Amino acid sequence: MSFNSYKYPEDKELVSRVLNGDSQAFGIIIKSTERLVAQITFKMVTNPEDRKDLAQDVYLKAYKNLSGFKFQSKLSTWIAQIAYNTCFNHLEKKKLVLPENYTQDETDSNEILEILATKSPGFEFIDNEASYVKKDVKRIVMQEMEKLSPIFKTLITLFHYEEMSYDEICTITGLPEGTIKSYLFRARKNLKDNILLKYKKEELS
Amino acid sequence: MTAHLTEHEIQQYVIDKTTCDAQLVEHVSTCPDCQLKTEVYQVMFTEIKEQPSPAFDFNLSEMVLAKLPVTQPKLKQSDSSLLILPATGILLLGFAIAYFTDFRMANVFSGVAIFGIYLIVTIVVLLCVFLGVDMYKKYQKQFRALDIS
Repeated sequence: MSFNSYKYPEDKELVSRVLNGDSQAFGIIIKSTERLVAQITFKMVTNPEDRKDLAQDVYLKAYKNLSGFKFQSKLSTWIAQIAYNTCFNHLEKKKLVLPENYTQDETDSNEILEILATKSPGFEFIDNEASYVKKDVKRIVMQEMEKLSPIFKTLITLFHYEEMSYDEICTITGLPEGTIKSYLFRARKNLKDNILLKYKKEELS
Repeated sequence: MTAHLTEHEIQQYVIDKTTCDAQLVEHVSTCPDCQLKTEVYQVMFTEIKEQPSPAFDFNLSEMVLAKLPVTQPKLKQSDSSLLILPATGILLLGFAIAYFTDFRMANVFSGVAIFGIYLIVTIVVLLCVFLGVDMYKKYQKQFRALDIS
């Protein structure tokens, strides 16, 4: 028995059942992976109707190509890869792919940090007692996340929210590890700078 | 006191302090500026993790299952097995032509030295053995991939 055949036994059972004609097993695959597919489609596509079509397209493609799945990754990672490629092609058609597609104020974030530090002793931004501030921070983070480019949003979500390894993200996106690290660094920095700017604007208004 | 951390070092410190140089860790513990910068990232990462997970507002499973094709996705044939059909067709056609035209196989090799004939036969046999073994291995691999026991 090869090494690969020891990996992902649950995936193998489900795939085998689908290939033997059990469509309900494919329903189980959908249920177990749709949260990850939703993460990717929500981060990459803003239009709800497009998301609905793309999500169905993802699983129809997965079903059609299931016999070609080699168990070299988790089934969820393979389906996430299909989701990413499907959304990427959709964005490409709409010319929305560029990772640099974000807005940023030119104010230096170090300057803002200084303002915040002097204005808010003990850095109120992270003060646990000030729950209203925490709520604001949550809202600002969510708003600023949405302003990032689709690829930056997706990478941040896969790495920080889904806690995926670089290897898994490489498999899903097809990008080299170095590119992913570089994009992630820039995405985090842009997000942090934009959050601070937003926070400053709201503090001063 | 060492220099302030770069943006890259600050991110790395927040993601995984254990991979950072001991001097950098020491610097952060004594530098309010760098502490502030790391805290911003910490808050940001925490907030990202606490965001609600998006969910489709329709029954995806139901919609997809209703659209599945009637035929099941079959195990894909290997490339070499796909060649069997046309190769068999060509061979049969060759035999048919030879039979109906009273074609003598020996005539083909009449001008070739005996060593050349042995060489051609050996190469053909080796190629057939190689393709056969390769095909067998591919099928074994595919069946093992589906072995769930």
